[in-house]
Amino acid sequence: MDRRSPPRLAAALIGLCLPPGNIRETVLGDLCEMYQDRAVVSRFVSLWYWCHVLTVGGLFLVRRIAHRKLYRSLSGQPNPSLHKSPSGFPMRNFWSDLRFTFRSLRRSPGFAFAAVLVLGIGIGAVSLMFSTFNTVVLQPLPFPDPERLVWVWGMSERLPQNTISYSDYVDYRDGTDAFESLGASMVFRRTRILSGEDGAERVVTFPVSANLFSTLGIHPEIGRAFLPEEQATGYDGVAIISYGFWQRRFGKSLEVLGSTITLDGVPTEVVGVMPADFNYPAGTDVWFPIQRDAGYAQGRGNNDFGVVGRLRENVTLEQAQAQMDVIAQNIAESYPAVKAGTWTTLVTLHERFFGPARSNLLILAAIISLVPLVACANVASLFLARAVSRRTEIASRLALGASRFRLVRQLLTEGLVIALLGGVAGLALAFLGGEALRMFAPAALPRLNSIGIDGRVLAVTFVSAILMVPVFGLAPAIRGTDMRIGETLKVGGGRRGGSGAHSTFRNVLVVSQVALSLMVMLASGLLMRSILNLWQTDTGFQTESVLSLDVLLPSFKYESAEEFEQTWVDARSRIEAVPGVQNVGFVDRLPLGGSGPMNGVWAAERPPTNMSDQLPATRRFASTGYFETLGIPLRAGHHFAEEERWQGSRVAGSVVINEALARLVFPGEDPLGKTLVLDWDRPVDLHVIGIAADIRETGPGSSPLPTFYLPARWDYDMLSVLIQTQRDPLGITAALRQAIREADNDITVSAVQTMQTRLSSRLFQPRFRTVVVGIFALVTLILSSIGIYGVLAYFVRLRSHEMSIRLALGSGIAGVVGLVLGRGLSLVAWGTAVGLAGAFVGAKLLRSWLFGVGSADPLTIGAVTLLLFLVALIACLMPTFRAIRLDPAEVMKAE
Amino acid sequence: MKRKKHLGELEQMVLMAVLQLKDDAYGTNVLRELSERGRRKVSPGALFATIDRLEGKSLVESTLGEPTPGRGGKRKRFLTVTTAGIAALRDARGAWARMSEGLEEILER
Repeated sequence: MDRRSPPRLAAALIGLCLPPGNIRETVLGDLCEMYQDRAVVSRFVSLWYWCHVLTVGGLFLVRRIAHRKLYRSLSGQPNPSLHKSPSGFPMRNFWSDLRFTFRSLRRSPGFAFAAVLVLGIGIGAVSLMFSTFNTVVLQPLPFPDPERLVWVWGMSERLPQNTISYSDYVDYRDGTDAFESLGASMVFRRTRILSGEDGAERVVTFPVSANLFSTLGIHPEIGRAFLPEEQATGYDGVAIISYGFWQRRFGKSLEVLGSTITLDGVPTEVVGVMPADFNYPAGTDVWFPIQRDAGYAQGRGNNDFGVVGRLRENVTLEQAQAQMDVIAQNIAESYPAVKAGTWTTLVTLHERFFGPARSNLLILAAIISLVPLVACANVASLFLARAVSRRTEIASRLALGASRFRLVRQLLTEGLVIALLGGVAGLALAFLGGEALRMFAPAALPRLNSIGIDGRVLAVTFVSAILMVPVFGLAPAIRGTDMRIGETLKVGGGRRGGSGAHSTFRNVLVVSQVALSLMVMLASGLLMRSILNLWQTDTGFQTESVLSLDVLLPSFKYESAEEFEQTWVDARSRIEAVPGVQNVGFVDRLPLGGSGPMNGVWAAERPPTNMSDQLPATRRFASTGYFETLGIPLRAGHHFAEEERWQGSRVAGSVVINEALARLVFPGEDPLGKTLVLDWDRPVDLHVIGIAADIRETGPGSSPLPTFYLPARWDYDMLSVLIQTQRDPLGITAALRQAIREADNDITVSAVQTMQTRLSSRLFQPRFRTVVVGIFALVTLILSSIGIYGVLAYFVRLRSHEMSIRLALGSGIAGVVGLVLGRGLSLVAWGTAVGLAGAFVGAKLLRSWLFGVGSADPLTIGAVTLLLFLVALIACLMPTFRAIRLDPAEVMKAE
Repeated sequence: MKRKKHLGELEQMVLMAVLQLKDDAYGTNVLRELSERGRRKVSPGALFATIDRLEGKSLVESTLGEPTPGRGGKRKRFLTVTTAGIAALRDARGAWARMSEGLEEILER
């Protein structure tokens, strides 16, 4: 800092405090000289200067307030006063309003605290909702030019929003020119075993097209992307690894490039590492190029590929869609058996990932937006009460010539200060709320970790705070300054002066608070009932004492299907030998794990003429013991025999179907003994040998999917195991792991949990919603009860004269109680009526969240209303109490 | 301000400093004068407040000078004591003299 001149900021600050003009200039100059003098003798001259900013600045500020006339002669400027004068007038008066506000708020700390707190809650709700929305939905995807990225949905009447097959992808890729590139990745992860000196490890791998990364616009951090030629070489070719994997396994060594890793016994060269935040498909450790000739890429009907496209510049979604439609038509005509009646739809990639989250958040936002309204009504009530209590002061000022406009403006300034402080409080609350969300929110909310407060959130917070000022401040300000001055200044006349209008307005405020709270409480009540229903719904299978785990065989060690089977059978018998195990079943996909693979099926007697006659049904490969372990009863027929195997598409086999499938494919007839045709790579005949009860595969809130069960595939390298235990399932996990390992030491066991846990994680989202709405319902309930209390307390004070007379004349406590309670409860009744009307209108919003309960459910409405009345009653008690205990003599004295 | 108020101590000192400084009496200089001659450390705030008060009582007048370098180019406000100011000083001096009559022995130790 230049020693010869004082710190600029400090000088500017003093300058603000000094009266503009010559005074400012000369005093600043004097201070500058003093600074220079002092700089010679002291190192801390800047500190000294700052100290004097405070004293000199403060001094002049005070003097300006007190002695405006003083500077007239010296500054040569007109007297700054209340009268209009050119430029500087609004600011100067704003400053004086501000000063006045701070002083008067300091005198009523209780009011200030209450108002800031209530408003803070309201603004905090807005802030939190927006910040969540902002992060989860509004931020663009982390790819360059994300607006040009699209997702391809494979559509059909029966099965909307599916993925497409590799063959379809190739056709689209080669047949359209609307895209810069179209990339594909398989939807189902392939778990492989990575072996090496550091031991074996399960890694998540995905086959992807060579151009997937360039389509998304992200390039490997080091190394290179796949080359198009590599899409045919297959496994023993190349791989690209993720940053996390690189860090974990290779310590970020640059020598990883060109090194070889062993996946399932096959040496694979690492050619690239992706950047740290790249995570598509989610959870990938290793990407490898799609092998055109591999099984998973075959089959027109194997819709296992997610396709992402980057539109060319100046090509619209609609244009691209038109091109896709042409190709889709060709495909449908060329492959009617599998593709008739199908088409594709393009959506933006953002929509695909955040669409569902957005609609959920919008519903939540709609409900929570009621909270700031309640807060505003509450604060308006506070402001009105305050204006009334200052009526004498206001009346005097009016009488002395202050304009009403000026007074209203001053009151609004108070509102502004409270609003800004409320904004700060709201931000703090929102921040805490954000932290809580992070801890408890479902992982299904994408981007959870980055919900925070950024510039946009700050802006929204303070803008909404400022916007609230006229909402809660204007009416009280106008009403508060509306009075017949004479009457107020008369002795004793003040109490009734303006009471009528004020009371009505306050009553309106309370009624609106009650109405809004009722709406939020109703939403909460409905959600709670939904959750209870979900909990109580029978999923159709038992979850108590059932353990689930995933077992992955080291496939590179096995040469033939027989060897796989041998290990599985061995593992199974070892599991059964563990004490405490009652039943064991193997399946390729656990319940509550999503619908999973599907195939088209039809009754042999009614072969489909086109695609829409084929029913897409959920497929499960389930071993014997599966149904017993999950407690799924067989309605008819019997299970597979132990020796039955899936023979592939060339041999007819047996199938067990569930009731839902039976109803759809064999309506009105007995399916047992009939033939179901499965569309594999060619139609396969399956004899129906059993009918299983329906289960809710995807969770309590869903309907049973039409499902068919085939005998377990012992040639798979990965299966899920279900184990029914006698007692506590988790107690035997160690023994189970051990037993399984004994079948083959390189087996990896993972995802060990009880079915009960899997069930409750399914319910996480609805539970989360219920809790959030419940919290806000509680908050609004508290706010409105306080509002009720306030209005009644005021009412009692207002009518204390009349009530004490009644008491004195012995008309009884009952009369007074009736008066007060009657007033209170009638307000609540009005509020309830309005709230119910509002709820009916808004109820449709909630429908997608409700389960087992209608949006106009009378039981919930009744319970919530009752709760509201009870709470209101409690709020009425104190003022009633006070009314009863009014001492007539005291009241008269105070007159 | 019509009420006859007597000068405070600092006010007297400032007036005398202004008189001592003759043509060169402006804020910072007054401060220096008080410090060197009067051996008083006065804070800028107190000084400005006093000058304001004196002006308010019309005991000093001020005029603007020319901008000088070395003060950030800001002008100086030169002070002069008015006749009323001199009268007030005389009054203060007289009062001091009368009060200290007979106290020489104590006061001059």
